[in-house]
Amino acid sequence: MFNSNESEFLKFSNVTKIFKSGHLKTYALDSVSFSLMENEILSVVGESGSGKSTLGLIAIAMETYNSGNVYFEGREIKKLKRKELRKFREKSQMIFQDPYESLNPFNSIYTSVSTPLYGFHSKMPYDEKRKSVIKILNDVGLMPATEYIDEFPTKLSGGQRQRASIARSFILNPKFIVADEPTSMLDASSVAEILTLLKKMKEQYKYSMLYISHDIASAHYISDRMVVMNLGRIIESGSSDEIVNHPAHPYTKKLIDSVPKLGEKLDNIENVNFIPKYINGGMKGCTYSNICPIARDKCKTERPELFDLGNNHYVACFYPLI
Amino acid sequence: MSDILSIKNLSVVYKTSNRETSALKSININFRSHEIAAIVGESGSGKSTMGLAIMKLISDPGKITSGEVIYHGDQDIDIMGLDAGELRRFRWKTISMVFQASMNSLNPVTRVRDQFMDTFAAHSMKQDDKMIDFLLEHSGLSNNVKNMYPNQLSGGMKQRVNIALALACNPKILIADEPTTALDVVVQREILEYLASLKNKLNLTIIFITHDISLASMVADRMFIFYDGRVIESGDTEEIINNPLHPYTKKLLSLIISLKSVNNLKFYMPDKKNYNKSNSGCSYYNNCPIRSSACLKYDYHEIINNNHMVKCINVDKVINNV
Ligand SMILES: Nc1ncnc2c1ncn2[C@@H]1O[C@H](COP(=O)(O)OP(=O)(O)O)[C@@H](O)[C@H]1O
Ligand SMILES: Nc1ncnc2c1ncn2[C@@H]1O[C@H](COP(=O)(O)OP(=O)(O)O)[C@@H](O)[C@H]1O
Ligand SMILES: [Mg+2]
Ligand SMILES: [Mg+2]
Repeated sequence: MFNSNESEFLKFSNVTKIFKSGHLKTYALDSVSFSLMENEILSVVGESGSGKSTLGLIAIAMETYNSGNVYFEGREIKKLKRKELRKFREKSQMIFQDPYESLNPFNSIYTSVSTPLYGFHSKMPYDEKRKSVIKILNDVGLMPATEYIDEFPTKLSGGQRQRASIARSFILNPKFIVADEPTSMLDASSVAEILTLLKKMKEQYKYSMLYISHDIASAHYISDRMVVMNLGRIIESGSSDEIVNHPAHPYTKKLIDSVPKLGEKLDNIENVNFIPKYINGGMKGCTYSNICPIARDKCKTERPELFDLGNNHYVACFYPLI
Repeated sequence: MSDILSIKNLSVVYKTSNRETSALKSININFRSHEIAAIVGESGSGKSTMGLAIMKLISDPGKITSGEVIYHGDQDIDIMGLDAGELRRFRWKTISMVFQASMNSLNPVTRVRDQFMDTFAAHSMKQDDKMIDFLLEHSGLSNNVKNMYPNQLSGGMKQRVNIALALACNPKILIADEPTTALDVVVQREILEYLASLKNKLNLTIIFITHDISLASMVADRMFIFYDGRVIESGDTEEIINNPLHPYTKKLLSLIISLKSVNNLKFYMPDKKNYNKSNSGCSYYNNCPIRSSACLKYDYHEIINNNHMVKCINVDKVINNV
């Protein structure tokens, strides 16, 4: 298990989040437990609808939950006092998927990036604010910062905008980052730029991060450890290398097989299968049992719990692939 | 294989009050019958503009300033010379297009069947249920999708319907503009397989527009690399991925995040947007690692062998790995 010297930075314990609309219930999170260690990047991987954004919002105290507990540095988030919550918000930042939305097109880069300073350090003199913005712009590779600081977002490319939005997230020197699909709106070539930047930034600004993505290849690239989600449940977790090289859950294998590979030919395809839209309305069995190629009767009626395959590799499957 | 569509010296300019963008700078491409040709480039490189120009759909503030697009049917037709009535008979029946981000603009209050019926009506085709069944079957969707509304469909199902709609009038050429962008990797692969299957099943020529060179390599017979409104390299897919010559193509290939990428990706500074503004010379000049003063002088291109074209005056340096 976890080395006891390492401290648990964030911990989810049996967290359940249900969205109701009319008589329809969606288990966005269905009894989810995991820990994020101090100074760690942990990836949360799964297709859209699997509950990743809900998890991220709860982690950053921007969404409530129905049951279970969320602990931040050992303290339950629900029980934080107002002042403590303010401190928590200062030290936690979110990077969103769409840099076009997160930067106001009518504000200069300076205005957007410095906003958190005005919120949390309103007394800081203007010159100092400007200096911090210049420093952070240089750190995110918008160099020389003086060429960018008074520009408007419309003048920047998608990758540059996401850098500016990352600059804003880092201006308060946060300890905790939730990056929700930060590259999914970007060109393939900018994805590598942004991920490499986030890795580089971590050496400079020590922080813990939840990296949320539908793309297991980018998750593997950026993080040492990952959890894989399917319809509100964590179905596999472990070291990224281990999971990518030895997936134990059929769903994880599907995610891996779907990663595009340079030069791999998709010729002569006869059957074009597709996966219909499912939600978890409180499933008894495995959430993947509807489409799993190896599901048996038991999978439809009994919930598989996560169990240890060794080396901190956990899977929730009655018939794991390894 | 014979040519089915030839683009000759095609230029498109967008002219707004405060700026003029040359979106296409005299491009030349011959598409071959029954091939999948990928148009690959970062956003803003002119990919969508090319698709729209082929359909003669460029509208204000855009203008086709030169060139022709010849469809080689029973006789040659210059699409740019067609009048409104002729275009109505030509579009969708000869060349059809899946527009970028269009799957989310399917009319939400119209059942799938009626969306097809509307498409038939708009192009004066027989309203034929059998055709709908045929197209749905090829797209891997079951028949009951006909009676569903778009919001009942998953992202992948919506895009299949959207593509099937573009095929409603049995076109010879399909232009698919970023058909998998914004979809999860799993669904992206499904859509890619579906597109690849169409080539043989419907005897189509497909022009596949994407920013992702690894996706392109999986389905395309040939690739055309776009940069700032020009084709800077083109050739057979195998040749381009195994023997890339333009420094920009090399960069695209070096930035692919795969399951194998570990810490070996280069940290790039963001590209400068101030392309070389003059009309001759290389647009990549400002970002190019092997530039020389000669690069700004002429619009250079070199045929390496029958199929491999590159626009780089320093191609010898690349070949010798300087
Ligand atoms: N505010 C909301 N109201 C109703 N349902 C929601 C809301 N947010 C998320 N959901 C539902 O919860 C499930 C998980 O959503 P989400 O957390 O956004 O997943 P992901 O980020 O993995 O795509 C989905 O079925 C989604 O439709
Ligand atoms: N309607 C428009 N008005 C003004 N400029 C446009 C318009 N459409 C495209 N452009 C410009 O033309 C160039 C090429 O755009 P586009 O063809 O959409 O590229 P891509 O599809 O490769 O992203 C870009 O610089 C873009 O800003
Ligand atoms: Mg999400
Ligand atoms: Mg486009």
